[in-house]
Amino acid sequence: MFKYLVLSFVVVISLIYEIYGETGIVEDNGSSKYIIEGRIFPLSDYQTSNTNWQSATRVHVNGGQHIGFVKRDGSFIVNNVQSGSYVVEVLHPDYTFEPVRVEINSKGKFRARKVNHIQTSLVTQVPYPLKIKALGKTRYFQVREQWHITDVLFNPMIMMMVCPLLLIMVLPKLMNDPETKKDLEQIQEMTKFEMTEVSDMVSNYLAGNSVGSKEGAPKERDSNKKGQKFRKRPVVKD
Amino acid sequence: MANFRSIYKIQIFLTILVHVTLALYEDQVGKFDWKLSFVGKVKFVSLEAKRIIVATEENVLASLNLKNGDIHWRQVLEDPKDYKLELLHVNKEIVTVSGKENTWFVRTWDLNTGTILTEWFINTERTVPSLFTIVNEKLLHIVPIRGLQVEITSYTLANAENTNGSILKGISRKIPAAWLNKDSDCVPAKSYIVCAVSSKLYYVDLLKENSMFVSQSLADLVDNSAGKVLLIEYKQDVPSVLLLKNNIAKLGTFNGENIQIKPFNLMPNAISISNNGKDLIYQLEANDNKNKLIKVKAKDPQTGLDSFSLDLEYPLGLGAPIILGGQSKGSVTDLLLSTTDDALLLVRLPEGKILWTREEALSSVVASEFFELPISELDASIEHEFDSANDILEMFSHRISTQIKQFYNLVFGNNLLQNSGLVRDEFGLHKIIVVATRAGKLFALDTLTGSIVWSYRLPNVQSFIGIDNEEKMLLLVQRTAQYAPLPAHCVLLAQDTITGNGILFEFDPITGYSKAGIQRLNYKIVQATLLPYQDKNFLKPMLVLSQDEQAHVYPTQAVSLIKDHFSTMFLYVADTENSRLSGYTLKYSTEDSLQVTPSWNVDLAPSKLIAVSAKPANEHVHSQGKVLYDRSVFYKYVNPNLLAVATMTSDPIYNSVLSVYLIDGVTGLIIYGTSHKKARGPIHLVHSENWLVYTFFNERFRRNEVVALELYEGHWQNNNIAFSSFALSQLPQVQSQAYILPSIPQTMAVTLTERGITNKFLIIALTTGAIIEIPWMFLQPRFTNMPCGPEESCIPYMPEIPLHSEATINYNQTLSGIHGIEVAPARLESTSHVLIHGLDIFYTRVAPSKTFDVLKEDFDHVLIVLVLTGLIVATLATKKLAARKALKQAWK
Repeated sequence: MFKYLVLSFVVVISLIYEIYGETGIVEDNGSSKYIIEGRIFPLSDYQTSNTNWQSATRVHVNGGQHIGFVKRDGSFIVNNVQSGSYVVEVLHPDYTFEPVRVEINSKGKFRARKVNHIQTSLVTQVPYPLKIKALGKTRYFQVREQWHITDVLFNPMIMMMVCPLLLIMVLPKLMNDPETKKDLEQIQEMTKFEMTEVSDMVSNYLAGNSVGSKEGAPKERDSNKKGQKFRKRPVVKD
Repeated sequence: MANFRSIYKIQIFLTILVHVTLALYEDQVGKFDWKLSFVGKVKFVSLEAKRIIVATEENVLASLNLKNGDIHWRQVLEDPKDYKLELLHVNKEIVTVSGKENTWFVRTWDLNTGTILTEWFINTERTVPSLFTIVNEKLLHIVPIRGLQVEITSYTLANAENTNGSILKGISRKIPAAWLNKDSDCVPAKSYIVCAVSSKLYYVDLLKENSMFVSQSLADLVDNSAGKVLLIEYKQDVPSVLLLKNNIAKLGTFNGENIQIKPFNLMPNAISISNNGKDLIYQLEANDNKNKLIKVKAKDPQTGLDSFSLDLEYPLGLGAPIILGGQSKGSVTDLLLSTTDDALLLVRLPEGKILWTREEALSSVVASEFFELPISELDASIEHEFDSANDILEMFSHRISTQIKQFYNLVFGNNLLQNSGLVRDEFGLHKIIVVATRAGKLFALDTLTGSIVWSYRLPNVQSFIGIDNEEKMLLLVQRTAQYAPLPAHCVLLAQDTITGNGILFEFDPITGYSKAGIQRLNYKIVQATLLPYQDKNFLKPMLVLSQDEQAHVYPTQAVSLIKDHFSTMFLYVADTENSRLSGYTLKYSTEDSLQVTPSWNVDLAPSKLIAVSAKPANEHVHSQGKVLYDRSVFYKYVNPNLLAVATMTSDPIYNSVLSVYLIDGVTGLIIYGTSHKKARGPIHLVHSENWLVYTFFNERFRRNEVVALELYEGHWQNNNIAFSSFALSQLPQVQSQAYILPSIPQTMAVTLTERGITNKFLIIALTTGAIIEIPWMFLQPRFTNMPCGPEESCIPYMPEIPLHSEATINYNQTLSGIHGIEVAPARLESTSHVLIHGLDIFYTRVAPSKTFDVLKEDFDHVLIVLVLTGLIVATLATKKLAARKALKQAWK
């Protein structure tokens, strides 16, 4: 029972809409003139701060071919429009609104959809009579960069100054400390030890490799100077 | 992988975008830009206590402040080309009727805010001129139909509130009037309609039912000398009308079926102003006093005796005034005057002081040009140091004296040597803009403040009608201000209102001084151009082609200068009526007689010629080619003689076809041609360097599209020293690409810089009132089979051109009725001046590659000083410390 009621309600609403759409027609010597209707909803902060926003807002149809003005309650009408396809834009200096494409067929049926310039056949329907809401405040300006202490600190010039300063001031102090001295020496010894080991390994490896290449690839010997150099090394060692 | 690649692409695009888009900072607002707002030539006016409601020829309704003339609010109605305001009535709320042919919009507006209250429209079957009047809160629409009747439809305005847009049914009534003919002249007078036909006056009172026209012989009413009687509306409480004959007006008042003619004479511009129930007639009369040419007279409406007369302090340079309206309050009377040069001024009586003047002529600019200012005396004296190169002693004394002056200036400020503020600055940012207006008045505007420096009124001057009915005058710069002490020299070309013959006006653009005044030529001007040669006074000769194909050179003695160049002089003429382009040569001329010989013509009929665009004459092309990804050079085809032409053809299948041609102006060779089916105007062409950009409306996809064409010679340059139109070995290679423009352009221009090194920006005025800058890089056609990325300074192709709100150079200063854009280079390479004119005038500067040649304005001077002092202090301190340490070490 309830379902039925809801359904009938929907039907009634759609009927009302249809009637609403039809009243816009003005029959006149054969060629019909229609009226595009809609309502604009500005952002609430704006509405309260600027009570006279209606007179600064305009509605352009096809870039000013037809013009609509906004009434006190935010509604607008565009008179004297023939059947066809129109782009309805709401213009305001400080706020951006999304344009809507309104199509009126020869029978006087209205259809409103989103403007899509790339996929022109794509239909994303929006309600008619139009309800146009402000997308937001239009951003005309770039934001100036604020001065931060981190900007100065991470400036390459400052970094170049600070790092050597640290090296000069802090390192000698560390050197004077006996414990760190000991530590450093130890590290140095360790690195020395490892260094020799690594160099040995590398030279051994290269020696082995060069021997292999000597036998395997005689071609490379003529062309690769580096290879020649490496080959000499084991000879010297021997 | 593909995903990654697309991300990579987007990233590249974003990095470029960040780099490319430039926007203003909020604190730059109004720093170098300014806006002047206008309403247009005032048609109807109503004074309402502290404000003036005006309705203008530009189809604008506005409220002005009575005290200073500032615009309180302004509503711009439909395009003034088609729609006209027919009625303005103010009574608690404003009622306007505006429309065309057989459609009129009736709108009511709120007096305080300019918000619309109601709107509905009237649609009639017949397209005959009709009248509107409001009587007793009823709008009467009066349609006189020739030889038949007068149809009157009355609408009740009070009911209009509830109708919400749909048509209001009016009550129609027909009154037979078989005597109406094409010469009949009807005006409303309160509830009466009064018509004058040949020798009879007909009038009818509409309030009475079944009333019929009453006729009266005009000879009985006014003197029976020869001449036609004109009727002028006269607004007062008693229905009355002014009968004008031989420039003498008589006041006739209606009473029932009788008309009473007052026994005194009036001026045609007489108006009635009521003060506390007592009416007075105010009119302007010519005065014998040479210093005060205009006087105001107030007359008693019963006796016609003068009750008040005053000589006005009427400023020189303004045209003849008429009274539009007025109001009286106590002893003070305000009169609103409009002049023949479209100015609006308010006169306060009894002092006769002019409270303010609005130069509404500036709302219709038809030509504009930027002028560099002359250098200061001091700079001039420095430049003239080597003038007397023989005398060393004199040169030495000259140098010493200038350097003393320089030093003096440095110490005491340089205000002593400047006679006026109009002196060139270092970067050429301070310029003078000279604009010619439709009303025939010249103005010079200061780029720094937007104030009017001088104005000059040219009587009986009108603009040429160019392609696509565009009104145009020509401003040609014969000599710039850089040749001190010779003043700058500019020429305005226009046509006479009566004969249509050419008008030549030579003047100094800095001061507005003209030695010769207006010269009325005895031929019609078809084409005019400046020649690129200078005579001994650094004056560039001007070549003017008359309608009968005769060439004229100004100044006339310059013929001897150009006689060696006749073989390289060519002209072109675009004939819109016959859709024909023709080229002429001066090859067969001699010094005694200039021979203009037709050399080529391109017949584009039956297509309609809708746009022709030549390149800016003062353009420099810095780079001769484009470096490709393989480091080879692709040379540009830079032909200074190239014309871009657009035509429209109606087609049975494709509706309308747009064709664009590139034609060499010297040889008439069509270098390139393309066409777009199902295209509609308006077409805008922008032609620069080696490229052309045009926009049109694509009817198939119902969107605006923009096409970029670029011409290249190829990997090999034909002649790298000079370009010749005749030395053509092969046609240039044309690259083209089309994009979607997600808005509707109203007019377009391209930035110009001193040397052409800076990137190019397109400046597009949109119908929304925004001026958008788009980098040329966005539109530049991409090469096929070539990589496109930041390394090639190339942005991957996007079908839709992004129009960011940050790219709006006029931020929230929305401009109305934009008509044209004028661009001029500054002396600073990075910057160009931009002037946008229309109902508003907006000036700003743009820097397409940012201001790379000057220190940024947000450069932190304090920080650098702090860092430097910090460093110095640090060095000194460490020096001391080091010395102390060395001393300590030595003691160890």
